[in-house]
Amino acid sequence: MRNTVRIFATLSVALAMQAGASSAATADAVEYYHAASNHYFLTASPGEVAFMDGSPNWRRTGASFKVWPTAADAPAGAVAACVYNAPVIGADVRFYSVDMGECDFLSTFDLASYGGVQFYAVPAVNGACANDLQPIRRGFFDNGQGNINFRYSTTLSAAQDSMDRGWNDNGVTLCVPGTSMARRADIIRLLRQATFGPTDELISRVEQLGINAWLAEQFVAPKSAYPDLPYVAFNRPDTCTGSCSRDNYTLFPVQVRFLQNAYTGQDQLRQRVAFALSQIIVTSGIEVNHPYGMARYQQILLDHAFGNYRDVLYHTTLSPVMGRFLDMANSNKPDVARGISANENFARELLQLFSVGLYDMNMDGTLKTNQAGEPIPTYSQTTVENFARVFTGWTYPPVGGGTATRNNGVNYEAPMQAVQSNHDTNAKTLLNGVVLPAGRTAEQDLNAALDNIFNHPNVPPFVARQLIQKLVGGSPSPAYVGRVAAVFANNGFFQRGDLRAVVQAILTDPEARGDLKATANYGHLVEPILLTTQMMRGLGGTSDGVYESRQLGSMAQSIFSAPSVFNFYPPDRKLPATGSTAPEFAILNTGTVFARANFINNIVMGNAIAADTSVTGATGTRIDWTPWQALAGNPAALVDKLAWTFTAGSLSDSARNIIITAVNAVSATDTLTRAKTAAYLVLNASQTQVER
Amino acid sequence: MNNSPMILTRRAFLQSAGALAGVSALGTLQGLGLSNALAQSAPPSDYKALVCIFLFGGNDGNNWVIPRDNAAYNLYSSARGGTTNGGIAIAQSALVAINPRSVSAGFGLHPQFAPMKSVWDAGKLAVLCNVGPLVEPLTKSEYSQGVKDRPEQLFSHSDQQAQWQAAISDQAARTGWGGRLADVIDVQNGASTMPMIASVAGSAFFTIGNTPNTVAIPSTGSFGLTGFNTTTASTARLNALRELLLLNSSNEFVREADDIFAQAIDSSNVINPIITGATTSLNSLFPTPATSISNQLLQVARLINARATIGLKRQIFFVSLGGFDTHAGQINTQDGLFAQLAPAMKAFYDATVQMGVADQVTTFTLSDFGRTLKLASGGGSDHAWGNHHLIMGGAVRGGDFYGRFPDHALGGPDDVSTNGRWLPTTSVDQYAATLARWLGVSASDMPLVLPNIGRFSNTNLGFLG
Repeated sequence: MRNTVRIFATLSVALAMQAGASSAATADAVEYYHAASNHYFLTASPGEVAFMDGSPNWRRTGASFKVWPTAADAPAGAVAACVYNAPVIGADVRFYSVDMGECDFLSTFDLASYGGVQFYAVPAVNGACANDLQPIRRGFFDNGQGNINFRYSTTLSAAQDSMDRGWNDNGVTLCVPGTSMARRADIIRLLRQATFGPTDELISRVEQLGINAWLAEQFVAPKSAYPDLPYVAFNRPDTCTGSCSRDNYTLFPVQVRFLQNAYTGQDQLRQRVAFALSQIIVTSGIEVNHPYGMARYQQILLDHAFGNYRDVLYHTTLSPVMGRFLDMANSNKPDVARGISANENFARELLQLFSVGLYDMNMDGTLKTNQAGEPIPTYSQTTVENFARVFTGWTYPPVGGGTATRNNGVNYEAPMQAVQSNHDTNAKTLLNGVVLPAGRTAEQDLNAALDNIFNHPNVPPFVARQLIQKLVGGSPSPAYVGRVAAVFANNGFFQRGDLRAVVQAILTDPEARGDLKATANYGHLVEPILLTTQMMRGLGGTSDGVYESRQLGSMAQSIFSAPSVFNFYPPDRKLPATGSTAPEFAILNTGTVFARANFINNIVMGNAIAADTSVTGATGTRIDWTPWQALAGNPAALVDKLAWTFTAGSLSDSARNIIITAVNAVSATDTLTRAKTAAYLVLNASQTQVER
Repeated sequence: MNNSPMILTRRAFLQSAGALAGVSALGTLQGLGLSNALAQSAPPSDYKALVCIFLFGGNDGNNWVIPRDNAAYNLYSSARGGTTNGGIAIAQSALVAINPRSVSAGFGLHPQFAPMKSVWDAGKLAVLCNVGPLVEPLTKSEYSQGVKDRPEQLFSHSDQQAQWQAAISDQAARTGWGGRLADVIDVQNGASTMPMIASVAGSAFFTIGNTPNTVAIPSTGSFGLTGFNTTTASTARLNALRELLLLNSSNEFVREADDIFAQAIDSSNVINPIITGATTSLNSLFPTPATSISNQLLQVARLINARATIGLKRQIFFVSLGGFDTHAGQINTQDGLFAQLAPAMKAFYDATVQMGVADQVTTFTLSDFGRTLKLASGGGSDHAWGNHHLIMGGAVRGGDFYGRFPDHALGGPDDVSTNGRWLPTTSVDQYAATLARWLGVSASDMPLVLPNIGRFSNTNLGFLG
């Protein structure tokens, strides 16, 4: 280290120059590298920058980030970063910190000299920065023989590169102004998580408002609706064929409306949360194929997407669609004489899938274990049988209105009704040994049982984890689950189950926000329904949803038609190779991978799809390629624009270059094929189809 | 880490095929297979395949295989609420009579299984009674006293489906026994680059092994990329798509998606011509109108018919039929499903006869769990445990029962509850071991396929020759 250039001799000069520097809102902190000593050096002082640029043995690494040069420029919460220099311990070392404890600690070292203040920054909290701020990781090198160094990195990849070479990662220590690109990438990622796909209009809106204000706007956006379809007889009349059968005895009208709402509705976040709930509290067209019923069921989820989970449980429990799907409707008290038990189906799945799950959890979603290290079952078969007796005595409402007095035939128009004489009035033992006394009504028992379930400690992590998985990624860290579960348990106003607060917590969490995530199992495969809506919205398509709704079955995700109450894919599905949780991969196989690619091909490479004239108001499906063709003369710009929209800027340079090459293989005069080629390849890239 | 040797091979191949800039890589694949085969020891000369039919939802075996003699029938019927007024017993007179060779009692199959009567009579269909997940052999008193481990989460769909497919019930497994069977057996397939397992029912846990080795194909239609032609622009786009799949990524989900896509492209070059080609004589054996399960089994027959082209000597197929979770309205629902299943199974058996491979193809059923014998409110039955299953094929020692048929007394010696939930007397491990042994797994390799098989003394139930 003898040859290290001594730069600190100039320090006083640099500080003097800084004082006279013009006051911009932000300044650049620039990184340098000295090959002989393998040292990095960072400075935000223009005087030092000028000096370093003139030093023959130091070169810029190309990395820099913005800082606030004065307290006046910095936002609330920012503090001065202390500077310590250690020029005499083997090499030139500079240390920045906004942690007063660290600054004080350094001041006790004789070898470290205080270097004043160059910039202001916001301290990281729990290793994370607030929205729109750029996290800076600190690397620390110590060879144990007096050679130490610090490095400040904007990206995990740079930090990782250092760690690979023997550096320690001190984690995120500073938060500095976000660069416009990082902020834009984060906004687009937010829109992939919170909507049915980013559009230019939405990106601008969030850039203008900021993330929190945009979320607030979404929470009060006008609500989408499903069509209010009238009751139809359970059995299709022989005279009802063709479009009559399709529109009354298949989910087609609901599926099409779902896509239309997703494509153009203003309440993107509400719809997205309702869609997530529809995959947790599942009903399916496999059994409930009457659209007037499914429309009402899905409307419950839209209505309560920002409401309370207790209300969601209540309304879905009493939905006749759920009543039929899981056989609570017309489940009567046990008939001892004939040896008939209460139906267990709803009781079991309510516990296992909609609320508490199979095993006792910690608040962060990890499993509790007993003394033998084994997970602890949340309930037993006996518990299920007791809950089954709770849910006896409910039936479909009479057709045309009125009060039920006996088991009625299927009618999805209104919530189920109780027939007290069919209800089991014996005592029941519920979760945690809570006993419902004998002699209560069906309504009393039902509400008491839902309270018993809702207040079980598993519910916050169980629901938090699944909502995170559906919005952000399949393998959330326990800490992330714990932070969101805490909000589920208490929204800050001692209210449990506030879904609006939960959604806000999920989408503003540091694990969802910030720079591109380098964790190997971050994110999730985009499921077919979202692949469809992201493609249509991102490309600027116009569609009635008819064609797309008919294609989704081949991709294993026909809308509202999961194969069973276990949804299209299970929340705990693991990748065999790594063990990472990757739910959506349960429906990705060699068959569906072609179905996805060929669906993209039909939308992108094919011509516009004509309206189905048998569907009222049909428009068909078409993409307006004009804006994309305008970029076709510059393939790099074309690909970059697509990559921003569809990958939030995460498309790798290698992938970008491969796609640009393919676009260049198309005649420059064929701007349409150029645009389509670029779109086809960007959409089919796994880097696009894995959202992260 | 993500790149298993097999995927490396496939992706290397994909790359070489892509480098040829041709749309079809079939010629390359055959050339590669041939040259590699010459360098290796010869695979077995015969062909063998297992075909798994998974009945999703929990098929009610109590109404599949039914005691026919008066006393036993009456016990069954009364537990099921009789045949009228919402009861779910099958009428005694409607049963398809079968007389298992080594059992001194009459039984009947569900009436919709009439098409399979001739297969039973020919001795090519066997019943395995009261089989289910077990951690180790377990008696009712051991179960009641809790002195031995029970399978995790009995009566839960997801867990029990997984345990039937994993043949592991004392912990959450990451692989299925079909996948592990392929892990062990695939060396017998020599240099073929085709995946050993084909699913015609999408992704299935059963097929997941330690090495990715499954191709999922649709039951109808083509299997491959559409939208390409021989123009320069199209060729460039296809090559770019291939190159994108070969990029490495720091994100494991991106790598996994790339691997599946790469495997799909490789497999389709071989499989698509097979399943889109004319197979008129096979088609004519299958029912009209086609059903989902008949289409799936016809697709399996087409693949077996093309076994020389595919080049595998040992194969595993997976098909499925869902809708068996008959909590209510069971009589009509199960009747409708069996009306699809039985003719499809019969057609498939006939297809193996026509192709001359009846002795080399063994078909068997799995399902989530059995169902309660006792009637549940709404005319159905609830989740239970032990269940009956069928094994079909020329190599099957059929016309007989294996395992022990349970005593139908509610709360009786075989019931772990009072609702008719049978404690299995045969484990899934033993069932799977018998099938795996037939396919060619040695006794010493069996624990690789079935890690808990050592806990059971009888590892060959005898239903296969």
